[in-house]
Amino acid sequence: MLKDALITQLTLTGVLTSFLYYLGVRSLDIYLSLYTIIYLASMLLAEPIPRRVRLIHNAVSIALVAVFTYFAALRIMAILGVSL
Amino acid sequence: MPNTRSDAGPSLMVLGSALAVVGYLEPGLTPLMVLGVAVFVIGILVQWDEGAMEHTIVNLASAAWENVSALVEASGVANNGIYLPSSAVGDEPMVLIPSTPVTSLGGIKIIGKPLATYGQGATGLLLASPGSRAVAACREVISSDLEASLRNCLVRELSLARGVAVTEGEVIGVRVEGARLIDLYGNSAIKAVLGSVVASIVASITAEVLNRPIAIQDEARDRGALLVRLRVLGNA
Repeated sequence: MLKDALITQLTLTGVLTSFLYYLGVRSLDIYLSLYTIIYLASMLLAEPIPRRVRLIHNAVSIALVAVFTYFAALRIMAILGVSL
Repeated sequence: MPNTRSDAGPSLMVLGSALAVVGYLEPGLTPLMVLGVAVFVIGILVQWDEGAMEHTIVNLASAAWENVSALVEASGVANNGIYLPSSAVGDEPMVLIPSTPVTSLGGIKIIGKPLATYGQGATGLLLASPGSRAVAACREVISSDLEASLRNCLVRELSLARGVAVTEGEVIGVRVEGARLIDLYGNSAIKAVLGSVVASIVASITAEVLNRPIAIQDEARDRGALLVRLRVLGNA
């Protein structure tokens, strides 16, 4: 059910952000990347997603995965020593 | 389509936006910004999910009242319905759809559901309506005060409206603020005969409170409110 998925999402995001802040993590890419994983995993609880919500879910998923890919590419390039 | 809006989605979106802006502007508050984004996304999902399941159920159930519409049209009894209190017909308030214009109701006699005789032996259809179910659901909050009964039922028990105001007189005027489910029947014959869902509930409750037959004279929308005018027919 969507309600269960949203409650799970909010709970995990709250716990995640609090814990990362406690650990002293301040970089946006780590927060957004982990939030992307939480969002995609928690929305599995909402399956089957109603048609109207599926459109929004797809749009949000694409946006979050694009941001995740961007930050992951930056990290990989930094590891490989490649600069833009 | 039923109107099932609520304020949860927009409220979460506003809250999420505010958190995200504060987290973005204040240095060192990146987690707050991410939390704001998460709450904003949840607000969007809630707003788009609002009533999705209800829409599906209503779409599927619309076959039922389309069938009733077709039967009413085929039977030729397409006059405006008369809402009867439960004391006149038995367990629950019902709607009499007369085959001829009504001058005197007389005694209502059920000859075999849904057929009933009235007046001088004319035959009509006796149907249950959303008002019948509403009165059953609101039985404990219906009193002798019409406005209080309508408000307690429509606003508090059924959450179908935000407010109710009644003006009593020869024609009873009921103003329902923020009424939901107004367009449930579309333009089917059943709406012409029974009125909209909210009007049907208003008429049934009024019939029950006043213990007299009620007819819906007309209904109209006025800036988000539904105005229903009721005519009292005969005696209990």
